[in-house]
Amino acid sequence: MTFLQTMCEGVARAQTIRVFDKDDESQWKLVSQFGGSEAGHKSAIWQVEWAHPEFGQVLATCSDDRTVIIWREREVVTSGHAPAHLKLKFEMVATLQDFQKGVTSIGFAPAHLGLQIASACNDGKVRVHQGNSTNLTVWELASELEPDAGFGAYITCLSWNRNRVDVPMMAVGWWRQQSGGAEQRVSGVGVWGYSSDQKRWSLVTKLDVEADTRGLVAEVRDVDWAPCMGRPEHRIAAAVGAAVQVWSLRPLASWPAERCEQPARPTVLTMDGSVPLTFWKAGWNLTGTTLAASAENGQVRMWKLDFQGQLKPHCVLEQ
Amino acid sequence: MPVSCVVQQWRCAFDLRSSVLFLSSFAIRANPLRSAFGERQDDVAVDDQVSTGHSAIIHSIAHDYYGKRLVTCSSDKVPLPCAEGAKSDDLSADHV
Repeated sequence: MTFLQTMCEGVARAQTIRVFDKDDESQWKLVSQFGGSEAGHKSAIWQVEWAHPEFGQVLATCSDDRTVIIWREREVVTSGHAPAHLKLKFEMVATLQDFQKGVTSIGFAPAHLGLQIASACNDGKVRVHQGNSTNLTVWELASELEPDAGFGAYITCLSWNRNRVDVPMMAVGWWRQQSGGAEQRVSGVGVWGYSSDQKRWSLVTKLDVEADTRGLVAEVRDVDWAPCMGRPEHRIAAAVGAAVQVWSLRPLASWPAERCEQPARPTVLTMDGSVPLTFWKAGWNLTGTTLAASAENGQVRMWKLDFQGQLKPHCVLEQ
Repeated sequence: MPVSCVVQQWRCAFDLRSSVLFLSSFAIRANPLRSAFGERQDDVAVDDQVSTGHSAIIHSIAHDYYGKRLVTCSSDKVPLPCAEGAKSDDLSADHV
């Protein structure tokens, strides 16, 4: 046994999930910790999401260990002396195991579509599971979609359209190495819609990712569909390498009866400065008017929509 | 440290040092006069933070529907109680 092996066995990476509550003095307090080595994921957890409160206190986590776990808050009898972090107990109620590779991203459907969860997997597919709000242990694979069929792309991110008027839709981001060139990548963002007549997901429109100044296409790391709040157009932001790219889409309510035209080229937002820094995540606020993106140098950049619908630099948050 | 998550549902939350989450109520502090003229807004301050106690990078955070509850997940390093019999292949997985 080598020294390194001994070291590796001495320390394990436990995949812990922690829940915090805001108390009366507006301090965040740890109220629950779970998912350690004994029960839970065996590998890194990539994302955690809350279900809508009408389904109870329900969480979902996705992991590199090829599973998605559904957690539910359980009633606990407190003895009065229990530590604060034991106030809440979460138990595993279901494990979704339809995945061939690590699951990178999950998203609960908006509540008006019922209890559904979409999971993006590195095996190239997005799977949608239908849950039962009265029995959370039962989840069935309802449908699946394959954005880059036949090539086995890595699906890195997904985001649901939360607008009630439209048919169920989501934006899916993926990338893969191009055969041949080592530096060349192919990546894309697709808008997918569920047609209730055909009972399957199909591509609504493709959003073309812009290449950087060197002509290379970076991988898509995150995508977020902005809340539309009655505005005539939808906006989808994606973190692509050293840029955040934002597409505007025209109304989609008539799809699939009418074809959705491919949107214009995206607005490309970058860091100022000579060194290109990768953006990891992008997110809109509740009204879809401010976009924030986190970068690898520890900064969060924000852009705000002006009255003409243009995204203007708003602020930089850093340590 | 890279910022690994950003959530804007209620406020902006992100981790800088992996063990602490900073929440900034940028919307309240934004000066309406200045932004009306399209000027850059730099007077944003961190006004809330959470000591998560995680010992490794936080992969994901999420607010609940009401913005009063926060959940985080991390690949914490914890000592194994029984290092002898531990199987290291339990932790292996296919990486991208």
